[in-house]
Amino acid sequence: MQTERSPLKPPYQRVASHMNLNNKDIWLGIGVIAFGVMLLTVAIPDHVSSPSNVRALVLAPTFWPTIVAYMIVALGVVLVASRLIDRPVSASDETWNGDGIGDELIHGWARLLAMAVLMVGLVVATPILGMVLASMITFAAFSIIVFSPRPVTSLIVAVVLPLVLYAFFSHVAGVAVPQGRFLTLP
Amino acid sequence: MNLFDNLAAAWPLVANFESFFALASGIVIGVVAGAIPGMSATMAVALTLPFTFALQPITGILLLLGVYKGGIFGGSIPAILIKTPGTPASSATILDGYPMAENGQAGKALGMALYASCTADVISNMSLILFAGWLASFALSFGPPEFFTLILFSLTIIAGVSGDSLIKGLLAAVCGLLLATVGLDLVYGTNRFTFNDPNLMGGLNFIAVLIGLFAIPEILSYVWHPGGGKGTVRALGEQHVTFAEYRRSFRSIIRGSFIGVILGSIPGIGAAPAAFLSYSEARRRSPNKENFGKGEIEGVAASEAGNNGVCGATLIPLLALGVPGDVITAIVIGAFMVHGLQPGPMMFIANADIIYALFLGLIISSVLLLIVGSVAIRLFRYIVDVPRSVLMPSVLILCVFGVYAVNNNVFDIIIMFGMGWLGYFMMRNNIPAAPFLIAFILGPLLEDNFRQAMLMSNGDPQILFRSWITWFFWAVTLITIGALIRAGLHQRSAALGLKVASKD
Repeated sequence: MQTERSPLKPPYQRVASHMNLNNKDIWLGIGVIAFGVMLLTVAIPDHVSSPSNVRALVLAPTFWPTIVAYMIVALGVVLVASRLIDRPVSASDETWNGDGIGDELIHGWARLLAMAVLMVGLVVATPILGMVLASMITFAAFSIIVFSPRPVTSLIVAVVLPLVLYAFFSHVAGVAVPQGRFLTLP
Repeated sequence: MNLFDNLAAAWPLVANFESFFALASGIVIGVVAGAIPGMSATMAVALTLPFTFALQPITGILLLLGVYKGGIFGGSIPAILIKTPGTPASSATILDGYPMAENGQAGKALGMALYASCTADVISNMSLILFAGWLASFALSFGPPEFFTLILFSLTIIAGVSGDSLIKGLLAAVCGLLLATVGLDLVYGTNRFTFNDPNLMGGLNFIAVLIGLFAIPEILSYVWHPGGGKGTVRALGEQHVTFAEYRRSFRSIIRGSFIGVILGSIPGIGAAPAAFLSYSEARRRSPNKENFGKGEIEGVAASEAGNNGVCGATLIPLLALGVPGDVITAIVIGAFMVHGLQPGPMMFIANADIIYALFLGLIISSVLLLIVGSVAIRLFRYIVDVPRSVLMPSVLILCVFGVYAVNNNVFDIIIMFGMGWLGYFMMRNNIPAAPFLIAFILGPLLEDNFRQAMLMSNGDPQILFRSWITWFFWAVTLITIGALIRAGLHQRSAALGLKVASKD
């Protein structure tokens, strides 16, 4: 079967997705404003040190981050304001959700969560198991998470690819690839 | 030294097996990566970058440029065979390439894509050679205020045209500037957002940030919807482009090449708009305009000439001014920096041999692209069929090894994953990643030039208006913002009109 993806959605879907994006953007804008305020009130005063003998305010180490933080707040306000002006009339219009529905949505989030755990696991496991072994396990786990339709190919690549990369980086590029406690490769 | 002396001095650097092999390998990698849906030229260049650390600077950079050129051409393959552009730059190629494939002429469309790409590539490279040196000698008169306004202009235009929304583009750029402040202060050496972690004192690793932003979100996107992006590959069918067909499309190819050169030399515009503009101009002027969109070979030629015309030209601002015009050249600037080189006007004096060796390498790459493309055209349909369930975990493992290799530090892998999730969040909220990355790269340069200007003037901001160059950049920045706001308002009123129409 051919994949026939139309470049444009039907008009009702475009309007609904436009409305969805609007609401999403309002929340995004609020988040951006909160982030900017947090920078100005907490992060810059506490985590950007400035010596007392600065010749001019514009030369202070805090000046640039402060300007950037004000710009973040301003852009957040503009984002919220622009989307409020262009807001949908009623929430009931929002019938179409481009992200998927029901079980599909839950499965998608579950896979993303599993992926996050896998990434943390890889970082934690690298010094213990070594990068090669940790990568092999990560590859295999990734294939399980996405229910790979080619498990044999995935398994072969999971073993071969980290070994090839180890050979290149260790023996050609001279990188000290972490070996781990249980397996020492030549 | 004049141009020919410089080229003669640079010839030994590029006339060796390593350079030719690097270029040819780069083109093969680029074509294969561009042809695989889910990969892109950007991702391919980013993933190749760590493999260049062990190479000589010129060899490593030629490898990356080969990947870039191969990737842009390779993107046309899935566009023609499965109606899915391998890179955004190939979107216009679908319009006539896929109908040609449906008519059993996929091989002919691919052949024309290759010949148009190579022709445009030669024109773009010649433009680079002619204009980069001239622009660099002009830029030698730039001081910190001029560079500050130039970078500000570049960031504005990149933020404005990279996504659907000017506000989100600017937001991405500003966040990139913020991330660039992490590390020790440039003047006083005090801590900024380091949270007393020694890993953060040198700032965030550029390669970890870029691979995180451009490769990991694609992996997460696949994990979110593993079943997406499948399509049936069309047969190659009739395979040869005749000389008469090439000659009939020649005017469109030349026009498209120059459109690509002009748009490519402006930071931020990129290959996709050049391809669409070239396509629409070809349709407007063609005697066969009613065939466009139904499988017109001139349409394929025009769009491929447009997007490949950009390739050499995007290096003009990079090499002459030190300002990357798009994400791929931003990655290339990373390769320069890894090897202790700083692109910009001074490089034309201090490392002229490397610059001119690159020029020669680029000309050779056009010929190699033609050879590699011609030989491999029959294998393309198998490349397109690479299963994503094997490809994506492989990309993840490549990212991990590549990022670790930069500093031999697991912390960089953590940064890459963090940036990957940020990039995925941005992707889902339609926030473009390109302005973020380019602002992250240009941020220290912008701040450094601003502070140097302030030091020169004892804090008097009038220095930022001291010459006609600074006035010029302020003016074009304001004109750009005005034009983008106007375009945004037009778009919004069109959307509101649609909303009213749908209610009726």
